[in-house]
Amino acid sequence: MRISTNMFHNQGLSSIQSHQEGVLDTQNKLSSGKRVNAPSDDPVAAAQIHSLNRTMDTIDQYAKNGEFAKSQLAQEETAIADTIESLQRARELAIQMSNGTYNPENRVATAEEIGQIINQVASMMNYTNSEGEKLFAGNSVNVDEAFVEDVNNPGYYAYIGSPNAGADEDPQANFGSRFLQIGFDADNKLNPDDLGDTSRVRVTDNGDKVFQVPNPTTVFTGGVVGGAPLANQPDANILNVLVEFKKTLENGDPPPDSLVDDMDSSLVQLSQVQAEIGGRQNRIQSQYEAGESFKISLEERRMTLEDMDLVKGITELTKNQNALQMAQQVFTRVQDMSLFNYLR
Amino acid sequence: MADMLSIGSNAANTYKTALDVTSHNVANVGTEGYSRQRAEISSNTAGIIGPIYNGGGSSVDTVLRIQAGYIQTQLNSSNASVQRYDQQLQLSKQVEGVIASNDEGIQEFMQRFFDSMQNLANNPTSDTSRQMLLEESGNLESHIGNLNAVLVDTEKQVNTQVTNLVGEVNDRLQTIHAINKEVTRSLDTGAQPPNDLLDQRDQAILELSGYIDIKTFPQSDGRIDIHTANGQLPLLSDNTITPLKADLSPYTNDNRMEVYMNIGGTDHVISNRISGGQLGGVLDFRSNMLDQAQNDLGLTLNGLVSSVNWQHYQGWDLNGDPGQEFFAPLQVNGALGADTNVGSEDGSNISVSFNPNATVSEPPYTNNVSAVTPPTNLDDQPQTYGEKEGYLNTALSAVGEFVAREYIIKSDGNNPASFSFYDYKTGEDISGTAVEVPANSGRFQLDGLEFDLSTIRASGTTGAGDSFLVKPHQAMLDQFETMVQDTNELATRGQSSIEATVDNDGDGTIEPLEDRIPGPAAYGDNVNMANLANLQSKSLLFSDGSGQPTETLLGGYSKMASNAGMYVRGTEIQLTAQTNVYDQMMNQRESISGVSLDEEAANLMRFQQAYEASAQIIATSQSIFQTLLGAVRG
Repeated sequence: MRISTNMFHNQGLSSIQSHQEGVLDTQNKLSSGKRVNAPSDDPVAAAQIHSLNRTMDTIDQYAKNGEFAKSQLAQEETAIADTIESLQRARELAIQMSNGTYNPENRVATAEEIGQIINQVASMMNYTNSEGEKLFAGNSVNVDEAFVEDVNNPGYYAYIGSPNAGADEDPQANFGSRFLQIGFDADNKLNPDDLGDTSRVRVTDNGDKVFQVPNPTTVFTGGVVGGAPLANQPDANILNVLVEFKKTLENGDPPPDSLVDDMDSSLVQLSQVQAEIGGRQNRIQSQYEAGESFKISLEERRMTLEDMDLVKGITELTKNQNALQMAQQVFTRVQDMSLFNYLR
Repeated sequence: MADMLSIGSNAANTYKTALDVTSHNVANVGTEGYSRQRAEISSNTAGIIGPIYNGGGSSVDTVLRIQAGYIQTQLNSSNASVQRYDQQLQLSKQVEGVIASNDEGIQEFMQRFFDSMQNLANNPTSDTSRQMLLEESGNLESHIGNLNAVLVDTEKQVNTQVTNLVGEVNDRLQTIHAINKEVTRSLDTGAQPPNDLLDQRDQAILELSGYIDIKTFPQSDGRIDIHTANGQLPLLSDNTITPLKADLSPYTNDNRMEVYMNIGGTDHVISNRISGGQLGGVLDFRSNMLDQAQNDLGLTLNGLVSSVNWQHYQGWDLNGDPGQEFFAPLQVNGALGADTNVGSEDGSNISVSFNPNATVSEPPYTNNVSAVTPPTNLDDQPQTYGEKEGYLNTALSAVGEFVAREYIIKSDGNNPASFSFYDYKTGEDISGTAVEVPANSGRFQLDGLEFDLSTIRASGTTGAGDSFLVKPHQAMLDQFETMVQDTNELATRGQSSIEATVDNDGDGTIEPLEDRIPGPAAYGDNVNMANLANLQSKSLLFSDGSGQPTETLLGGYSKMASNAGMYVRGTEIQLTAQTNVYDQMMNQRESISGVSLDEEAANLMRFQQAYEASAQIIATSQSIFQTLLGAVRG
């Protein structure tokens, strides 16, 4: 083939340029640490990277939701543990007071202490969390009190969702519990049916369900042992059992067995709730761990797709650099070659 | 009859010319498009002296231009491709960087938007969480705004480029036309071909091929005719230039520059027939990347706006009122009428919106609960929660029907008019999938959107064949806006559970969930916000044949990004391939026509020696003559 002078020039220049492009490209990838910097670098991988990033971000968000749920549950746990402690003291006193060795004066004095316990338990049942929400009022978190004074029976307490709350009654409080999402949901839908689903964890409780005495035996008489039952029976919650206990003591009477029985069954129920909260916390933890290990495998996948293999990158860069230097040297050498150099 | 003296002087002349040609070659070693020349030396006819043929010396027949026409043709076509892909690559990389970059792109903003919904679902009464959601929504909005500004700028840039490139094409045509005339003239007058003029013309044609794809047709009188669009449209033919014209598209208000050519007395848009050169690159970029990206992105946003709005309508805010519009819903008022339309309607009475349950239930709802199904007032709460959910599901499946395209609506000109629908890009007739709801109302459901033509249907203001262009997805890029201002108006609360133990309709059974009367759940309920947050993971877009959506909202964005990426990648590959072809052709051209300085140096020595020898012949002839004279003188 005939070679023209420009061909030397063109070839030299184009090989220098192509090696320069190579250096630039490797430099870009090495300095960002990423093999895929724009979708055009690898369109298929780019779509996968987007979807991996999305999934990992979502897992992170679920982990945050879980953290928040745990902090809420911790508050509920504290409130319930405190109530259990108070109840246990009340139960001890009830057993003591039913003993014949105590006289009415002793009982009236003890009523004072029960009064303190009632205050303590009432404040726990009306617990306001760090967000200023009532913990035990179902989803009616904005009410002033979860347990208000019974309008028919002064001195007794009524749950905000019970008809005994009178004007304060809020039927909504009997339903609705807040569910937080801690994992992927199959249908991405939360039904307003109070049941939740497996991807979510409940963080609020309905005070009526937690503090209601299961199978109550107490007949409220206003503290008169064997007296006529009150016309409108107050809610059979543990707070009212304590109130009845106090009133009985104030009358100087020993508390009837039914009160101790109700305290016992309430203690069992509260322990169950406590265990259930612990169970929810464990679920959050195990979801978190599952999410984290899932994330590790996603992250690995993302790295293979997106990240630059440094060893490979540096080898590539050195290779391109050498080639570029070579091309430049060849170019200057070839440019020197001309017959005119010998025409003197 | 040649003698020694005339042979010598002829030879001296011959080699003088040869040296001139060599010098000309050396002088033009750096000239673009120069073809080396060669003095064709031949021996003069021999004279017959008696029985012997006596040679007549040498002379230069012609100065030959060493060149191969077929290579020039191939150069033109590969140059058109190189310039096209180069242009495409520059523009598409610029857009890719804006809409599809991996860092801090739309997907991050959308992710944060949904994350803040999750946070609000955790803590629905917290004003901070509520404010956060509005902030993130605002951030998304301003990001989209910036991005749209860049896209609009790019559109303008493309318009300017089309205009400028059309100007360049016309200029080159003038140049070539002028050279054509000179070539014909010099061929008429002289026997010698005008070598350097031919080079200049080849170069001008090569430059033209960088702007537009061309085919050349050499004519017998030395002219070259130039056609574009694969040889079908004449740009320069029969000594006449048919100039290109850049003007706005037939849908004037679309502000879109198109390339026109006068064919048979009328101007026709030929933009889609130009396939090469920078002009071809710009046009291809516009229709296959820019438009596509805008439509794809708009579709994703339309999906976001429609699904978030409808889910928001389902819930109740902190005041116990029904959720209103979260984002400004899609509302395109006015289509673009073609300037060839004969009717008086300019398209302003056409509107497009998202109204999936048209004439049945058209939220945002009021507090009023309807006593009948379907509701008497379109914005009444439906009779039951189940119905309300049903409307939501219809809306979400309408989102799945969205198609990233632009619509042409054509009227048949009757009163009342009938309409047909076409895909603007492909020209496909899509009237078959349009459903008129209610019948004969002029309101059509098509691809999940409502096209309201009720005003122009019976007005008699459209002529037969009048067409209107509407781009609902691109419009969303402009319209995207957060509507909720007051944090209390975020509808976090879901349907009330309150009727669960109440016999609603008095039939003696307790109502299941779906038969409950719509009403707000308690203050701290988070069901609706949890469902809003879950829209992120829900497949909503691009329903398959069975009506099952296949992509999430962010997946819709990814799809757009990888479409854009694939366009850039494809262009890169094409550019590399075409550059190689071009380099190859250029090498071949150089191999045949390029000047080699070594060759010229050798020729210089050769012709110089020959010239010196010729001079010696003259000198010898002189001394022979002197010898003869001396002998005679004695």
